[in-house]
Formats: sequence, structure tokens, C-alpha cells
Amino acid sequence: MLFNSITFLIFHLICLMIFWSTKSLLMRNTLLFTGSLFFYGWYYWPGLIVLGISILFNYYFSLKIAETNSKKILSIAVIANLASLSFFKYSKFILDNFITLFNSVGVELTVPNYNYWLPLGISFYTFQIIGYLVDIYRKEVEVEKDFVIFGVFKCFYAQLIAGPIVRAKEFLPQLRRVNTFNPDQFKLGIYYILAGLSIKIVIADTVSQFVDFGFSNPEKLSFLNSWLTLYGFAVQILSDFWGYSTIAIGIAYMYGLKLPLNFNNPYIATSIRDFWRRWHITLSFWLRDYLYISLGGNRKYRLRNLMITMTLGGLWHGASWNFIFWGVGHGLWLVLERIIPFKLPRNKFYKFLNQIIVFHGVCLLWVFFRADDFRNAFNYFQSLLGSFESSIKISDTLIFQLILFFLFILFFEKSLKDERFLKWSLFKQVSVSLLFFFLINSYASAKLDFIYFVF
Amino acid sequence: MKGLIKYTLTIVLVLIGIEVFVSHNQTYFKALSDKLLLKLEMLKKREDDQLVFIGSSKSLDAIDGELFNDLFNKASPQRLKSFNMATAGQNKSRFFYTIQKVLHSPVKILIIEISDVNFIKGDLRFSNDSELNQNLENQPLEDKLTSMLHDHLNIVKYRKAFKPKAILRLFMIFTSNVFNHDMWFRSNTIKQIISKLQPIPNFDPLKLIDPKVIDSRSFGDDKFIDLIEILKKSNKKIIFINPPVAAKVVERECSNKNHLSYKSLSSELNTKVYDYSCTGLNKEFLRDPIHLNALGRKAFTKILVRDLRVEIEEGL
Repeated sequence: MLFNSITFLIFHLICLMIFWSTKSLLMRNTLLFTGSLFFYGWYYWPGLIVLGISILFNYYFSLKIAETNSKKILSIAVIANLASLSFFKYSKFILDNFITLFNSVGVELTVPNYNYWLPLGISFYTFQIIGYLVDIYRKEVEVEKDFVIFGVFKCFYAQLIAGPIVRAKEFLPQLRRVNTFNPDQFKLGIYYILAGLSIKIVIADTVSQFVDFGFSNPEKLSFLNSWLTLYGFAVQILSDFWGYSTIAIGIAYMYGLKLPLNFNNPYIATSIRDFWRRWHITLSFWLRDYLYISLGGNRKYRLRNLMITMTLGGLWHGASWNFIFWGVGHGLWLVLERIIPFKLPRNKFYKFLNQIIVFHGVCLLWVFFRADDFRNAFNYFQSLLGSFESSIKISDTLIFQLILFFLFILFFEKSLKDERFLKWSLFKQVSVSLLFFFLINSYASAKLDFIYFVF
Repeated sequence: MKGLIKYTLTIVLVLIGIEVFVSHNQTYFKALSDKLLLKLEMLKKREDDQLVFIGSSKSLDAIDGELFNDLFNKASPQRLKSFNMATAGQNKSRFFYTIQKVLHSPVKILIIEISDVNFIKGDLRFSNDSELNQNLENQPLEDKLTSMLHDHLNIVKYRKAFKPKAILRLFMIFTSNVFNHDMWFRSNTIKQIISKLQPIPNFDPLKLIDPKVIDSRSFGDDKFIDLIEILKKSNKKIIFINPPVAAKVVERECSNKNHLSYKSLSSELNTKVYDYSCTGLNKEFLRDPIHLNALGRKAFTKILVRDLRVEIEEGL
């Protein structure tokens, strides 16, 4: 059940009606919990088994950690969660690399034939629950004894599959109180959902067709085409993920809940550090608080800690050397930024120059993220240097979509960070909502998944 | 609470209003969502057109209707107004549908492209037609719901008519008699605008283009039987053309088998086939191996006027 499907719309409306028709906290949370399980199982029901085991296991261990405050129990729980993630996400990658290694030294091994399956959203819900367990150990959050509330925290359908990764101290208190219906928040929720769907359907899905072609055939791209396609991918990945997060925030608003902001106009960042404060914010902060700080943070081996954090952050995105290399690239850039005290004068021109440099650096690293393998990435870099002669012209549609994205950022980006939509006149609210509705309706033919589901 | 009710109610009422409006103007909304229907709607507005080009994207890119009129009117004492009806995404059903529609219009001369792409089997499927199978029993719930919405809501049925570009298309319909809108149907709009300012290119690189004029009475194979059936009943002047292509695809496009078919076509309909596909063009005139660019379009349009002028004058 994708967010951009009619089945989801019906499911969500039914859930909302039942939710607001009762004032019982238990009933409401039971609805959210069972609804979330239904939502998850609709896509592929065996995934429920893994999710169910994870819920039971972590519920038990969270109580144990709170009871004993034992580092040993915390370690067992964290290792078990990481082992589950590794088994589903990285076992094939590890096995393939072992076999390649053995084959290279002359020991002939073959890949065992088994069905590779990755439970949906496992990376997100594993990280979220690890954060919760650590927070209990650090006594930053009170353990949740109510199994239903814990269940909703673990698998609320708005953010279960692709985030934002929520913090227990921010989200659990919201689930523990009976919210009264807030019409403004409800309205805001509708607006966020319409805007998120527009970003996803109108921009990300359309641009993806050109990007797919470009990365499959880099040798057919001219210098200009390859750069346009790369900008296209930068826009696609942001729109895809930002769109999803915006919808998730909108869904939560309609229940009177508040999810954290996940994107803050990342392509205007003036440094790579600034970029990571704006891009996938909930993951960046998770990596900082639970990995970087656990490794020693700024206290000792700061640069080493940074490299490890970013490399593992890259690996989190996918089981491939490309993602590791992408993470290493970002790590190195962050390290360089810290060791080289390079300061430009503070004026608008240099700020803009910085933004251009950071944006292009990020784009170049996206090549590793998007390419199928290193060979593909290498070919793409060649096309970026203008190494191929090509008669294929890039379609006007791609340029049009990039302009549309720019206009969207210009006019609506700020309204998706706060509640300013509520201050608009009724005419403006209705006009913008209708504009989004018709854009979604007219571009709704593409039935593509959200890219971040695979992480 | 009042704010939410006002907001929701206004949106619902506006949507109902638009739904009613669309259902009363389905012809236009249908045309806005499909290029072929759009061109047919434009043709209706262009009441005084005498000549129409019918074909695929090949002809769309190869012929500049406005330039054709200008050059013809300079070269001939008679006045001509033509319209390029060629559209991208052509197949046999859409090709035949276009011909039949044009045969029922007041147009006097039809210049029909006879390259293979027009005879590829395909459904007469317009953009607003349901993309799903009619048999929905074994389809997923999502498809059933989508189909249901498509069948019962005009806003969904003609959803492509609500794209930002569609507003431009509405403008195109109502001004089709005043402006030539061909460039909006082609890619690289900016290059086309720039090319308007450029002179018609030197003919030297194209001087080899000499059409293989086929008017033999001998019979070839029966590739065009259906086409002959339709056109035989018509009293309009018919001319067939096959636009030029890149040198590297000449072998594929220009075959003896095709020429045998052309012979049967020309003999049955007592007309001529101007086949330019046997002369390969230089890269500078091409967008890709089978489509001409703005420069090639200008040059080829000029050649076409040179070669067809006498025949057109006879038909007017």
C-alpha cells in the first residue's frame, strides 16, 4: 500500500474516522497499532513475522534495560537488532565478497542459491528502536510499559517504512495523552499530504525516467546532457524522500501528532557540515547521537570517529561498495572541512559561491549513490567530462521539471517547515490545495515506489 | 472548526463545479489530453485549410507548414493554406483514424507519409482512455478502484488536460487559425525559435535529394490494401511522400520491397509517391537518424515545394 495509491487513501480515511470517533486512549492506540500492522502486512505479509518478533523482543528488552540498567543487556539487545538487520540486508553482500575473495586466491566457491528478501523499512525501524534502547539506558527517556503504546511507537504507519526516525522522548509523550481534535492541525495535515504527493508524483517520478535512461546509458550522454541528468538525480532523490517525509508528517498531523522535520532545503547548504544538518536530519542526528558520540565524539579520535560514522552511514543506505564509497566521500569531505581552516569573506557572493561548490560536490558524490557499480560510475564520470559524442538531445520535459522543482522550492518550501499555511487567507489555502490536487491528478500515471523503501 | 469546514467545503464545491464543467465540455478536454485529437480540433477551427500533411513524427519534424505556405505562395499564382497534422506516437489505427477524419473535412489535398511507422499495429487508444484491461476480475484492488474513478469522474478521465502544458493547448485550439503552433508539438522549442531567424540553408548538401518518383502501373505486394480501400472512395487529391533519413539508416528505410508496394499504391490510386528515403542526409540536418532538425526541416520544406508545386496547383 503506497502513499500514492487509492487503497491507502481509503485505509487512512477509515482509520481517521474511527480514531476521532472515540476518546479512549486505549482504543485509539489499539487502532493505530493494528492499522499499522495491517498497512505493513498489505504490502507483503511475511514481513509481519519479522516485525512482530522485533516488537516482542524489543519490548521485553526495553523493560529489562530499565529494570537493571545493565550495559550487558543493552549490548545484547543492540547486537541482536544489528544482527537481524545485517542478516536481511548485508548477508548476501558479505557472502558475495567472501566468494570473490576466495575465488581470487584460487579457491573455487559458488554462491548458494537462496531467495534474497529484505523486510520493508527494516533499516528505519531498527535504528529507531536502537535509539530508544540507548535512551532508556542513558535515562533520557522513561520506558514504555504499555505494550500497545510501545507498538505504535515501533510501527506507526506514517513513518514505519521510510522515516522520519522519531525519538522516543518526542513521540512517546504524544501517544500517552488523549489529544482533542484540532481542526487547524487536521487542515495542515491535508496540505502537507497534498504537497508531499505533488513533490513525489509531479517531480520525482517524472524526472526519474530521464535519470534511469541516463545512468543506464552514460556513453550516450553528451557533456550537457550528463550534467542535466545528474542535476535531475539530485532533484529526484530529494523530491522522492522529501515528498515521503512530508506526507508522513501530514498523516501524523491529522491524528494530532507531530513528527520531526527531515529536510531543510539541503541544496542551499554552504558547507558539507551544513548539508548534513539539512539532509535526512533525523538520520544525521541519530548517527551523531548514537554512533559518533558512542565512539568518543569530539573528545578523542574525532576525525576517525567522523570517518567511521559516515562510512557506516553510507553502508546503512545499501549493501554495496558504491554506498560505502559514497559514505567515505562524505566522511573525507567533512574531515577536510574540519582540518583546513579555510574561511571565505562573509558576503552574499561568497555565500552563493559556497552553495554552488557544495551542491556540485554533493552531486558528484551522488554518482556513486545512483550508479549500479563502479564501472557504471566511472563511465558516468567520463560523460560528465564530455568524453562521449552524442546526438541524443535531452528532452525539454526534464528542463521543465527542474524549473518546476525550483519554483516549488521558491514558493512552497518554507510552508512545509512550519505552520504558516494556517496564516494564509482561505482563498490562498484553497487555491494552492487545488493546484496540488490537479497536479497530482494529472501526473498520477507513474506507479513507482519510493526510492527510500529499499534502505 | 469553522475554518476547516470552510476550507474542505470550498475545495469540494470547486471540484464539483469543475467536474460539471468538464462533463459539459468533454470535446475540448478530450482534445487537451491527446495530441491527435488536439490537432483534429485545431483542424476544425482552421476552416479554410486546403492541404493537410498526415503522418508520424517523421513528417512533423520534416515539414514546416508555415514555411511551406510562404514558399508556395511566392512561387505560385494560387494561394495555399496548409496544416501539418502529423503526430508523434503513430500507429496504424491512429493513422487511419486521422485519414478518415480528414477525408470528411473540406480539405482538398492530402499529403500522406507512407513510412513503415504508420503501419505498425496498435490500438486506437487516446490518452484519456483507460490504461487498464476491461476484464478487471483478476486485477488487483488498486487497479479496480483506479478504473472505477476513471469511468465515473471526468476530472480523472481527462486528467492529462489539467497538466500545466494543457493551458497552452487550449490557447492553441482557439488561435489555431491565427498562429502556426507546430513548434509546440516538436522537441527543442528554443532551437526552433532561434532557427526562425536563420536563413534557409544552402541547398548544396541536399542537392542529391531527388525523389524516386514512382508512378508505374505494375502491381507490387498488398501492404497498402486497407489504405487503398479508404482512399479510393475519396475525390480528394492524394500525394504520398516518404521523408529523408540519415545515411546510416537508408538501407533499412529504402528497400526494393517498399518500392514494389509503392508501385501498387500509386497505380491503384492513380497518384505519385515521392520517396526521399533513399538519399542519406548529413548529420547537420538531423535531430536523430530518422528525424530532421530545424535546419533540415527548412531545407526539406523548400525541396517539397519545388517538387510538389505543380501537383498541388492541379488539386486546388
